[in-house]
Amino acid sequence: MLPKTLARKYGLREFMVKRYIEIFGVKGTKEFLDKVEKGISSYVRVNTIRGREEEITYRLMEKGFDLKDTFVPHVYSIKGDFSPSSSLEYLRGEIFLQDLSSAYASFSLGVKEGERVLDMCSAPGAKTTHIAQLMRNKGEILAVDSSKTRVLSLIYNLARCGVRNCYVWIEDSRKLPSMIKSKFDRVLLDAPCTGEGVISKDRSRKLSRVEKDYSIMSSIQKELISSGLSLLKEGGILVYSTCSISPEENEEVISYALEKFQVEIIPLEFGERGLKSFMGRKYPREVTKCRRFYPHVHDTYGFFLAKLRLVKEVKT
Amino acid sequence: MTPSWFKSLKRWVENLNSEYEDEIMKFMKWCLDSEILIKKENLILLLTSRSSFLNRSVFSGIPLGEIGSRERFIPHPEISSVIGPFLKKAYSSEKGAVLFTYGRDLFIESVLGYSEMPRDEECLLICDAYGRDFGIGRYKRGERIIVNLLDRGLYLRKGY
Repeated sequence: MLPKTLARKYGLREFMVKRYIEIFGVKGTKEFLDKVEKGISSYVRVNTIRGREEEITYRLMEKGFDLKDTFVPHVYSIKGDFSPSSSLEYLRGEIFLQDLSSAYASFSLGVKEGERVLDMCSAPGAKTTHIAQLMRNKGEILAVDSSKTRVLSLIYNLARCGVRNCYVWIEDSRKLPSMIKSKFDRVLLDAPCTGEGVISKDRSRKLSRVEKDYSIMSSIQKELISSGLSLLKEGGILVYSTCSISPEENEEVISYALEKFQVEIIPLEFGERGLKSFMGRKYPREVTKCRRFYPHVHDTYGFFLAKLRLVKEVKT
Repeated sequence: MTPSWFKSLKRWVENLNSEYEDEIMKFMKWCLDSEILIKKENLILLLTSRSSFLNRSVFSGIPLGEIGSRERFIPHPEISSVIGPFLKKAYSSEKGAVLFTYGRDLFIESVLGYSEMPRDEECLLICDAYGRDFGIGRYKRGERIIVNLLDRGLYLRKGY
């Protein structure tokens, strides 16, 4: 009866609540759903391509914004009387509105100046602009996205943030291995997903998904991660992330990568451990090195993150 | 042979009525001859690096504008970072700068000062007190305003 009651109370589908109970337990599910209703904190990343961090944060505080440090460098939680997206700092690209968990994904990639980086599903560009910032606009980023409309947002975000080392392609990233001969030092795969973790932002996701969607997305994600790993240099790093908490789109995809490729998971400092099992399915022990973020625990969107190192290059 | 889109860009620069028009066009011509000023789809881009990825790319470098209907050049806010150094500057109050980014004109009363005194009808780079630019406007001495030609609020108004 409980899943049905909670589903009615929070306007969700019953199967979703059952899955949440499997992950969080009953008490955790209530806390999760309460937080989703209440909403999470807003975060901004200070774009050091456009100016000095101290000066930008000083100007924001002068306008009455309350900023608090987070565990990701240059990222602050922000509170104010008006939206930072209408500030002069935003229009000049000095700040980017980006969730903490999303910024942790691009930060975890560990890019260095002068490297070659592939961002596989890059629009609208929050992580791409962050990577460019961490590379100090040096080296090269190939940013790919299959949607022409979304690529337009990416282009204008790159321009606004002063990114100069990025090349944008409109392409399905699953086709990239047949198109690119050279390999990359690092690959970011922020895979398309059911978006279960961003219900607090997009309420339509409460009812827009059916159970079958998890397996459909999971197949696409497996194809994408195969493509990403095929394009990686030996010893190169791939960060896989989704804004979903469903294990089919996360632990299952990483288990697939562990089985098909010679990769190892690099543990990350922040976040909850990956799941060992879900609804009767068991995942390899190593998958617990992946990281999960939850609204009621970390005050972020629901998010999944895995950092993989390719031990042996794939012959293409 | 000079491409037609470059002629549109030239017309837009001439319309700025800047004292430094010749310098701007010399720079643009040099970029064109060096093949770093290019047209991709309908975007005019100033390349900042070269790579084998460029051939298939729809975007790279700094967008200067796009070519609209009848080959008209429509400037992008980022063009100010390229031609800004050639323009005289008007320093605005915070309130004036905010209103300017809403697409409004700038009243002379909101101007804190100029880098050099502008001529009537000359285009200026609009900056705040910290020297950060927000767009380009045309100085109208008689009407005591700087007419908004281009501003960074476009990023919000266009919904990007």
